[in-house]
Amino acid sequence: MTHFYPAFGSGLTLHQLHDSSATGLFLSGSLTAETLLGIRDAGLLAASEYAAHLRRMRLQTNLPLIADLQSGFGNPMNTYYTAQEFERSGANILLISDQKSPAHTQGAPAITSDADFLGKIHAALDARDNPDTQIWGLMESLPTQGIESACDKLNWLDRLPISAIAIAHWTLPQLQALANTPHHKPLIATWRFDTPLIDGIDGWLDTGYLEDHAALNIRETLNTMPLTATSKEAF
Amino acid sequence: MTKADLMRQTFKNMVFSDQIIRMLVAPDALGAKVAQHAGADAIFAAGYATSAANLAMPDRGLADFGEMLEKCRQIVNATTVPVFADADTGYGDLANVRRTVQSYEQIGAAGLFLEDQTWPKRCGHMDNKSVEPTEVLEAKIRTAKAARNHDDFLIMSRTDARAVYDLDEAIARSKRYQAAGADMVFIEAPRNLDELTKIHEAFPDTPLMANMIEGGKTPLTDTEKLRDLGFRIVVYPTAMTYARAFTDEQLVETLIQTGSTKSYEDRMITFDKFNRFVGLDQVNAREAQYDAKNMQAELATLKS
Repeated sequence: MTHFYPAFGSGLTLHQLHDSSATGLFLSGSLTAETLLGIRDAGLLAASEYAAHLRRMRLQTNLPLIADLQSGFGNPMNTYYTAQEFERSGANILLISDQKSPAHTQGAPAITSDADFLGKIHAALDARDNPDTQIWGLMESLPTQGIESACDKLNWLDRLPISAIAIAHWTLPQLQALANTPHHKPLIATWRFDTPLIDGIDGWLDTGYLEDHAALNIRETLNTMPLTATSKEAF
Repeated sequence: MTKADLMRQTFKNMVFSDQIIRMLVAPDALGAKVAQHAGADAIFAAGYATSAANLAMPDRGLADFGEMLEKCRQIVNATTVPVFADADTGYGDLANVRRTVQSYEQIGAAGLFLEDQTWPKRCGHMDNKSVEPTEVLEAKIRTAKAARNHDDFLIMSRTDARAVYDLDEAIARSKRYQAAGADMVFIEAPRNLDELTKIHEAFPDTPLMANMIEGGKTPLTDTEKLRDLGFRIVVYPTAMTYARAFTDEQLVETLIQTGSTKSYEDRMITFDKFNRFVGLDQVNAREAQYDAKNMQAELATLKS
């Protein structure tokens, strides 16, 4: 069975998703930054700002929620306390990235050292109050470090007590190569509209398809409103 | 069992035992940690102290739901004893009450009280209070009970009718609030020991709370005496706020007059002791646990 996890950042989108058949929902840091700050850049968002939003969204859905732990909002010590805060704010799954902190929203992010990433994964695992809370490791290193390094990372991540390994910024050959690399943990790949559902990928993580379409609809609807140069001048 | 589950269960067990819970209102997370360390059985996140600490303003319905919830959340996270919440009037109508209950339960509070004052409310020991018709809080209590996810998230009714009418009306209202589902009863601002006794006689099997405000309407009564009178919770809503404000003023006056804090140091906690108290050693140990050297050693094994 292939799982699908739509992303959201706003209550408006969540409202449309609450009765969907999604396996879970991803409260994306980028989309949350767009909702709260008006800027789609997760790296500008404070953990406390995200957590407050998470708590409010948690009250509106019973579906499992994936929280965007980003790159831990600092070092592994910060990751520990942030993971604790996100779990008690209602997250079922914590997604921890191998980006350097702050984890800006970009196509080819700077990647932290393996030692730092491992420390953050341990910190997130240790911070849990509820043993059912899952930790997923997110690999964002493909654009900067290539497939060989990613296969190596997949190998050692696979030996940790995390629940899944997520892969972002991939090309189709890279994703197929990773899916063919021997592993035991479920593999989750970020999803795009034109993505073929390839074998070996157990779940697909949306990163903003719904809210991108909502933005397009708003732009089109805006054109139907009587906004003219004259009305702007009058104000 | 999560911390929130444990705190609710612990509080319920305490409330329904024959002990009396010494519940301190803390102005903030640090105050709560100090109170727990000094022996408080539970912490109360409440309006008088939150209005003072956050706004430097009186308890007159100015601290809103968001400020009160966040204060309570910070206290819950800083302590390992149960934290009870002052939810005032529920901050609106029944829809607001529903959100209030769900939100306090979500952040790990052990329970909350809802009161029958009109909004904007006043501290229970201030003059010129007014109360809603009894039906209003009855409906809020029923809504709160339906909104909670756990039966051990305790709901207390509070009436301010003693000051507006008399003790008989306050007791009659509280009977109706209990019938609507209140797990515990709080009659605010009785005037003397006789009234405290009558409250217990009216509710012999119900957990009752007494409120000890320095300079308030109810005489300051020792904990043991209150337990003998049948009360199961005693709350101190103002003591830490008053003591802190008094000390802060004395300290700053000393500094301004002498040009230094040296002559006040004997009334301060020391740098090292304070850092230990707020857990610097544990935070440093947590950082060291995941340092690069340790992680590189583990990586070498993982990659072999």
